[in-house]
Amino acid sequence: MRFVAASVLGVLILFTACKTDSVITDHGNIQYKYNFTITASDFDINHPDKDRLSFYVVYIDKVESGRTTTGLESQDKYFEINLTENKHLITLEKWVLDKTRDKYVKLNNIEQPKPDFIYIIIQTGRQTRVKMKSGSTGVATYTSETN
Amino acid sequence: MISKLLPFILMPAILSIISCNFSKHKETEPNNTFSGANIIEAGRTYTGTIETGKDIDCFALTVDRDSIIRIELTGIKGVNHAFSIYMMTGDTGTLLKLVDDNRKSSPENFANLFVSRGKYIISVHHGERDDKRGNPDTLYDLKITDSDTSAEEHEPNDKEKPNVIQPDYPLTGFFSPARDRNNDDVKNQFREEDWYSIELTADENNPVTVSIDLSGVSGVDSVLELYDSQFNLIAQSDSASHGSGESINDYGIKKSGIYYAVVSAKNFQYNNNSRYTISLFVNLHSQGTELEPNNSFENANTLTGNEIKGKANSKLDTDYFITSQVHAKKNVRIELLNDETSDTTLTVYDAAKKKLLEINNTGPGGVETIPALYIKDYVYLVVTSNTENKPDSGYTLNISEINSYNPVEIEPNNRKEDANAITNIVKGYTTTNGDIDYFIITNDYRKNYRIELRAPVNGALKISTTDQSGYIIKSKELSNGENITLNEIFEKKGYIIIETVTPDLDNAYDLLVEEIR
Repeated sequence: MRFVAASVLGVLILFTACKTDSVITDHGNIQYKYNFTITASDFDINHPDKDRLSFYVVYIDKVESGRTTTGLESQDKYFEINLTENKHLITLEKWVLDKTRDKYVKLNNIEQPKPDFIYIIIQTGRQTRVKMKSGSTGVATYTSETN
Repeated sequence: MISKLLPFILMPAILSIISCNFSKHKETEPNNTFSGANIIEAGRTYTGTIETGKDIDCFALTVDRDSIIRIELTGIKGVNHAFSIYMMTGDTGTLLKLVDDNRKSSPENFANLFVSRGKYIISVHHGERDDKRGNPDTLYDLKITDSDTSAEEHEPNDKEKPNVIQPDYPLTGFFSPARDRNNDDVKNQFREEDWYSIELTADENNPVTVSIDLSGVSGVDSVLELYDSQFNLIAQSDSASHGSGESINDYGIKKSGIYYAVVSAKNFQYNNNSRYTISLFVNLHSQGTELEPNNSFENANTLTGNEIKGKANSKLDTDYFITSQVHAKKNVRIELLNDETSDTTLTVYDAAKKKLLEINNTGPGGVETIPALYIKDYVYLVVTSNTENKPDSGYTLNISEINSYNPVEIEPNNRKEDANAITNIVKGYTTTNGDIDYFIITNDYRKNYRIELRAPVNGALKISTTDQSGYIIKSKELSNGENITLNEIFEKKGYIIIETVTPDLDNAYDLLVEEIR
């Protein structure tokens, strides 16, 4: 019985390790490497000509804290970090590649996804995952789950 | 009254006419052939006429000692006349010189013909240009004067009869208005040339340097050339204009033999009144100085030490150097120190002769610096003079090893294809005004990094991070020893680009990259 339980746990660990927020065991308790992750993408892009390389700069509590990975607008782009237990304001700023200038440039404010923020609560031993989906109309929707 | 004064009026005129007839000697026709030549002597003046276009007046001069003679022939109104000089052997004459300025009515002169014991014929005739016609009413004067032979060229000193020139014993000569009928060189047919032979002793291990100076002569655009013993042109100086001198400086010779310095004038220009001076200097080559010719990859001078001196020996001279094992697998700093009037460009080529760097940051008197260069096996260093008409501009090329505890960037890394891999810390330099240094970070999947950059003390930089393709994600500028820290994600790979805003060729920047775990 113990062998079966250990095997199941091992498979679970392997399965979850393949995700961006890997976990480790510590005296039987699950600890997340990062307690907050956000994934952002556009949901209604269906032509390569409109699918630009992009990333989001992430502000936490109004302080620049990093950026997501780069990827096509239609792809998920990831950001992960450890935050203190508290309520936090997460703001996103979209940048896209300007090939004529060989650099990424910030989208004009009018083109930024709206709303560009979400409040989250970080709790001890739990991980909060946010997914942001934006569309060509500029409307963004946020979904959050905490494990 | 008038009859009493008449003798006093006529006497001076009669005396004058008698005097002239005594000092000048009229030619005696027929003297159209060598055998019929009128006998003449140096120090006297002879008169004659070109009766018709076909008339030839021959004068025979017998010489009993080595001397140099000047031959002056006055002009004949409306006639383009000339004279030829022959050296006689029995009844046969060998043409030494044809003197013809190709103009009507003008005099002809030959300033310094070297003659030794024997018989010479001076033949006055119509020139080659213009319709041949005479002028029986106008007398010409033919005057011959002689002088000693010291320190003077011995005409004819053509290719077949060069004069010997010794180091530190200058010789003088004239740009004569002569045509050398024996000069069949395709490019310079009939060009009057003065040849000087130089005997040199040298070998690969004991080369000598030859310098030749030719003074300027008014109205003459001269050319100075150096030929090897096989009559191959090996050096030429033709940088100065009319009235200015020419020089061949510190030309390296590695093989014993007879070499030839050749003096000539462009377009048959001449000056009978002013002498040129040709001077020869021969020195043992010093290891610390360049050895010309080194104008190509093939004859690049090997740099065995840390310093070599060079000269811009001619307008836009290019000097090639090749580093030796002494500098292999080392990071070095290279400085090209220009003399006050020297302005040079330093170019570096790799072993495959591919251009790596070109440095021309300063002007005359400045220092061109490559603050750091990694020499894998060897490189070529090429110094090109930007200074025109300053043939003596000198420079010193200096190579010193960089002793650094931390690794140093490897130039060239100006493109992402040439990016240096970075795993921790590296020292970099702002090599040129527009220098760009690419560094690449690679990993298996995706990692966060902390990037620290400290600007050089007296310079300014722009740092950029990029995505996998090299597209810039963010940029920051910093200067004068300032520090900056950036956090960045690199997915499999990414680049850090350091662009020079203000170069600091003496101080490095420090770049640190650490993974955030």
